[in-house]
Amino acid sequence: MLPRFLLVFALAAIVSSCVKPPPTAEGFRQLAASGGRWAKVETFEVDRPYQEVAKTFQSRSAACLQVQVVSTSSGGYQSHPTTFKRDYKPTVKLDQSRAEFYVQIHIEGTNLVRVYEEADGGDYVMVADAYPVGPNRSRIELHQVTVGHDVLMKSVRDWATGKSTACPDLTK
Amino acid sequence: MTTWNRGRLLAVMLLAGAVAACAGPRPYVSSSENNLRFTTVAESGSWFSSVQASVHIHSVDENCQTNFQGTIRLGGSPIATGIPVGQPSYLVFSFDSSSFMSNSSSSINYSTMLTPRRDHDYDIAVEYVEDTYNATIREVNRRNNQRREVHYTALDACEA
Repeated sequence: MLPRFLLVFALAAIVSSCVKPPPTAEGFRQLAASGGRWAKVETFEVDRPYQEVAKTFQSRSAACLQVQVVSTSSGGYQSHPTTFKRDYKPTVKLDQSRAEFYVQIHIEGTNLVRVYEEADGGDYVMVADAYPVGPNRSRIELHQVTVGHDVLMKSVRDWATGKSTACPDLTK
Repeated sequence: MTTWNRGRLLAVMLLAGAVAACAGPRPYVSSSENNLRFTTVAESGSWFSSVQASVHIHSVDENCQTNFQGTIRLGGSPIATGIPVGQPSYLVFSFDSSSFMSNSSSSINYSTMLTPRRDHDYDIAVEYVEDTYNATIREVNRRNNQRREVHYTALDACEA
């Protein structure tokens, strides 16, 4: 429950502070790189060949992230139940020197009022770029929102390092 | 039929309907030799919540249409069952979480196609730990015990 509401608050805060949610992956990279309050960049290296990291991103995003999460809260005494529907859209683009992996979310919900224009495919919450830095080593730049989505980010780190191929429970 | 008998018949039908509605999903009944073995670890990580893992088994016809065959609740001891050899099946693993404190529940699914081969068994490790889940399928050759991991296959990969 909590991350969903935090996300809504975070998006509202972005709007209220006149930072428009970026409409492209490149815009999201720039927002994270600017060191703002709502997005950050985390860089780390892993002892795995670039092709292997890219392949893992491709297979796990397809298996784990093409999901719709529906959450309903009963609302409590004398309040109306609310329903939120989140559609996750993962994208992986590969070339010889970089694997781009990003996740967008389209949110619909009871009484949800959108005060900004959503990017095509949904709001960006993560852009992970993998680069080869040696035959058996890769560098990962993980651009991410700072509020919510901890479970997703942990899984992406685990996929990059090879620690685990488990899927994140996106209802958390 | 007398009014009394009609009333009794109606009552029995209503009772049967109510029982059927409360019985949960249809349990899977295998008509094939056992070739799947599920081992399950499902830990919510909290005293105040629980996770129930299940697998919903669907057959896949030549037009790539799925037909629900039944559900197996997973957990506790390993569970063995069978699906037809040489025909694709669509396995949908669901992880249903419920929290006693917030009176909330959620569910997330992981699905993959599997086409079993003759003389092969499939060990399926189903896991929900620390807010992550997985279903790892390993194929075991009955003749030489050779093992290999079976990778995720989306339903989109089905060719009509």
